[in-house]
Amino acid sequence: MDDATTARPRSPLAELFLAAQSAPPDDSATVYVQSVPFVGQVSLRGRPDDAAFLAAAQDALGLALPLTAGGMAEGEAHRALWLGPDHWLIVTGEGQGPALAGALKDRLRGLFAAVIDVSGARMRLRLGGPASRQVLASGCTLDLEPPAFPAGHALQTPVGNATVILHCLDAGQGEAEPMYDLYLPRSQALSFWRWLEHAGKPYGLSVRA
Amino acid sequence: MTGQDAGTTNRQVWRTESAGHGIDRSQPISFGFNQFRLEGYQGDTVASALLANGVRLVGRSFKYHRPRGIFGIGSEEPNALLQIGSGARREPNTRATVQELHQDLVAGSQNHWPSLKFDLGAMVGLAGALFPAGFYYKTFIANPKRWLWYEKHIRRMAGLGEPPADTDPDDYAHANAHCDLLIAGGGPAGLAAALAAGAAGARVILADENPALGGQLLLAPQRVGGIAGHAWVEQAREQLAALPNVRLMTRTTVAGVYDHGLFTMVERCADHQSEPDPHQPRQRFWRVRARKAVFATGAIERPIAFANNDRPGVMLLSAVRGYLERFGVLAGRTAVLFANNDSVYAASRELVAAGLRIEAIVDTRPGLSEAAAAAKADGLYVLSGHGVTAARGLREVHGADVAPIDADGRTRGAAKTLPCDLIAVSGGWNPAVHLHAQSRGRMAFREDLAAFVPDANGAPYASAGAANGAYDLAACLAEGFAVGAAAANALGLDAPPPAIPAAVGDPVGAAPALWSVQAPKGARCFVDFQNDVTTKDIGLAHRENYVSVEHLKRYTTLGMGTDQGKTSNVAGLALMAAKRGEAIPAVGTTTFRPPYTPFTFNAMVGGQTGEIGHPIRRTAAHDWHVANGGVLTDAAGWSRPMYYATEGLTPQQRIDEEVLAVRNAVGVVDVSTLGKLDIQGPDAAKFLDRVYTNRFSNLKVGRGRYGVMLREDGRVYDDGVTMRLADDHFHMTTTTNHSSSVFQHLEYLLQVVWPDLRVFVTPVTEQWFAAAISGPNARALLADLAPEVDVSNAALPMMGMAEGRVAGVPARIFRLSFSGEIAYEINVDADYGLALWNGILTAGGPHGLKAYGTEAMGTLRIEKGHFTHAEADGRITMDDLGLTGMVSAAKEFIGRRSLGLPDLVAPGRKQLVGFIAAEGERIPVGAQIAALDDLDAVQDALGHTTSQAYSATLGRHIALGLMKNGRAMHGRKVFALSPVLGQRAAVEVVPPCFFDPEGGRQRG
Repeated sequence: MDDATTARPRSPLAELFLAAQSAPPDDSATVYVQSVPFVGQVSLRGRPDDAAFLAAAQDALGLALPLTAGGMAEGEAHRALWLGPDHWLIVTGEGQGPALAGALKDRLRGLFAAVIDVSGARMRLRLGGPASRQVLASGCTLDLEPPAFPAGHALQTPVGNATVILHCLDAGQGEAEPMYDLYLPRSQALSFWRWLEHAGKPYGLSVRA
Repeated sequence: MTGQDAGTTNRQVWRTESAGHGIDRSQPISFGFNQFRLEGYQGDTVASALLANGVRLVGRSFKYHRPRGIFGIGSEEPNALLQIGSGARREPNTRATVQELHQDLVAGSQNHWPSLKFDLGAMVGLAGALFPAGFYYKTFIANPKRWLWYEKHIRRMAGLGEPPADTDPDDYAHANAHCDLLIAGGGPAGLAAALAAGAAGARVILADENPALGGQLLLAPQRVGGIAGHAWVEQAREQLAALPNVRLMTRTTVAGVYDHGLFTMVERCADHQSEPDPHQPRQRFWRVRARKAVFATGAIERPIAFANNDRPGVMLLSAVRGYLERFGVLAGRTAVLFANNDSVYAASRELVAAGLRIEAIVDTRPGLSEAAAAAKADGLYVLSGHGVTAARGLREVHGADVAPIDADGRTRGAAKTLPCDLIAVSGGWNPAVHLHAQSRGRMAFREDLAAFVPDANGAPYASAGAANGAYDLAACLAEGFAVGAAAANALGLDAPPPAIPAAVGDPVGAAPALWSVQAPKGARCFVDFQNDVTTKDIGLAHRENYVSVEHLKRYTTLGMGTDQGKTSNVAGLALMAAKRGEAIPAVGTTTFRPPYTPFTFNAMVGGQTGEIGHPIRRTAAHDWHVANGGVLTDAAGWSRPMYYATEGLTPQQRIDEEVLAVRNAVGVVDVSTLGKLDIQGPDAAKFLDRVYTNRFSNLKVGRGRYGVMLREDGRVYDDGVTMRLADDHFHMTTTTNHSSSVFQHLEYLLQVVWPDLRVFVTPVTEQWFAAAISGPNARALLADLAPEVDVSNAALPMMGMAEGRVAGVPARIFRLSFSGEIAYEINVDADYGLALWNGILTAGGPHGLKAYGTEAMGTLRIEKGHFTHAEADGRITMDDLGLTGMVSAAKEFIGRRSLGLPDLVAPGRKQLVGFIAAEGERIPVGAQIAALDDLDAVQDALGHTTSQAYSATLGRHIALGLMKNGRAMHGRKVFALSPVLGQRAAVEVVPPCFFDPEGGRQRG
């Protein structure tokens, strides 16, 4: 029974995106959600006033950890989202969570830090389209417009019926359309989807496989 | 004609030839009112369309069932409340003056029986003097039993519309917005403020409750910047719409003002349509955070009370003007205009030009103002120093009694009757200070206006225009531009100097205070039309020593209707002040509360119902549970299978099967919902020693230990197994119920109590899917699933752990047991949870594996005597549970110092015991334990049951419970009684562990 080929990860919204694969694209929609692969995620804890920790983390990650609320740092292989004064979420490539956690642990050994692979704790959902910000704003009390929430900003916040990590990829200024990554608690993904479906209804919401 | 006779074909007989820039005469609209089919135009409100058709009588009043008509023109309307729509879309108590007309709209009058025209309830009105303020309290409440009988009948008589019985078919939505400046009201002042702040680049939201911007500019012919007022409005609107930083919102009421710049608004997206467009909400509830706000909410014209002033055909003068200007409707044929200010003369010219015959202009002021003299010179009959003392007519006005009056409204001569079908009243204006008052702004009383105006001192937000007491159009515009620019400048923006357009508006002038005209004896002068409060009621309240206006309000119900007294409150308190012989400001105002106008609960709910409003947490194997007959229950927000339904088996039979599979073969249960905390740091072990009663610092790496946490008061808080993954790394489990509160508790301790401890606690419940396999065959099954892992008792003993691939998935295996059998809890990355679960089910076949749910799990733990929150209900100590042995005497921990509290060591505390029922007897749920087998006897309870189940293992019903001195009672025969259910059972008190008390099976 240890046939590794049978052990495949499964997204909590797998059915939704499977259905979208065979559905024709909805051109009238002004907001869309997109399936994104099982990104590796690592929870990193350490004290922001611990220079040795910050230096070691930077060395291991190839980026300087953001130290202010809403901060996000992007390196070549990973991005770091600020979750709290001593807490970051490191996002890495598909299936890379355990490997990154191992490498970080090795590098931080002897320092006061905690590294946990949390790749399965949250699923990532991408939300885009001209109305995407309005849809989010209908369930989020933060000011999502730039300059308050520019591209590269990331915060943990209630959106609709779940607390998510909201990362703005594109603030949608000029010709561009706004685009966001949402990291949802896995167990609440389907309930959140039901909220999103309702919130997106007036704008036309499509699912992209 | 009145339009009240069935079968009459109505044409829009009161529509003028010209005028009416708010309607589109090329788009006729057919609608229904009671049994009539009528016609109006696109742009009409229900009120303007009814008036155009000559319909005056639209409803019956709340208490006296008096005939009522349309009184105002906006959201202040107290009278014309209609039911709009039919079936599930029926909306009661809708003001005809704000409801926009749409094709096939159905409107019906309220509170009449059997018909609007002939209403039996009006007999109450004839019995007039019998129903003064406080009547119900005095008459009925004294005998509560009789009140119950009266109440039914009074409730049928009183009241407004009927709520629909069916579920609302429409959708509702929420929205949030942020802005630099929120402007409430889109009249001249609001538009000017938006132009000024918008030009400076401020993020502006301008909200107006009406379908079109413009406010008073739409309701009387005025000129701005050399063009008609409504044309200037359109110009300003276009200018603002072109600014990306300005959001214009019509049909949107700023309903509430709260702290920290929070405002609520209700947007009526589809109330002007018969139903919402596909996928669109009917209403949207907005929460707006604004850094600054301007209240440009205008002013509300006030009436002057006289006898029978509630008759259909008595209207506010500004409303009569507005119906002509905006809708091209003359609200009567022959009018008496009654005012205490000069606006009546400008109005008279417009009305005469449109064809209204003016019988007289009755001006309360002695002498002739300039405008009055001019009107007189034009040939109008001006009666200065006069008042209307009474309206004549029943279902509509057919005359006005006019008499000379003094400055206090006392008649000073005989009255004469003037024939008319319309009495238009203007008693001056009250600034709409509601939002200012909600923001905790104070009020100042201006004698020249006889009105409360916002006191700018200490006010968090600015008011402008008529809302600020600046009634003159030029002043409105100037104030609007000024506050808009000031707001922008205060936000660090640079407002360009505004180009204030020249304006020609009405000379309103001073309006001397006059609230009522002396009425003939026995006549009723209404102050609050909606709640049928008269000048007499206020007098009565005063005589009965009601001094505070708040008490006056509650005693008479003044201002307590759905209109919240917009046309009546100030008059009511002015009359109270007069009775008390005090100045109006000394009496004060009642409290203004949100919302400014009523809105539906559904708007507030915003469609957040069902799973959207109450999210469900699902484990990775949820779909499998559902597909395999799992009957779901809510467990601390998680959806969990209670048992797996099987055709041909009762739920109990199926639960028995699941229990016996665990006892005799092997079972698997989804335990992902248990709280999981990752605890790391050099001080992690020290930290755990302080939060658990027992010691964790001496736990070996790779081993686990069961621990119990206490609250500071010494009572049991939570329990679970914590595994030591490394010297400085632990994996803690908590109960499902307390997973988030335990995390908060620990985080609080680390941040506040022991900031010196170097420990990180990270919640990882979402990361792990966990399945527990338990039963005599569990080891053999695990061996099949995890060939790389040494599962022997030596390598993986009770409370041991291993890491390795299970069903191909990297896993942490904890050997611990809740069921009392050999058991392993297999934890994997939740994305692989379903893969693990399917792998276990596939491999389990040869071992007799069955999946089991929370019912079987509960039964197994009751058999083993493990407590849960049913037992540890917040009052229970370790000793009560028989766990004193787990309480370390050699260290400090949270709750230890409370363990010596007298109550916690007092004799006679309830202790955890088991109860086993006699053969064939069933222990009732929630039973009390008693000595006598008598459901009706008065006897002391010896204890109570906390959890009960049928134990298939033992073939008996069993229960856990708490009993006084329980441990000394083992072997006692007592009775479990439920007087509530009418059930009983003979039970024997036994130790809480019913099965394998030595624990040999789980260590095997």
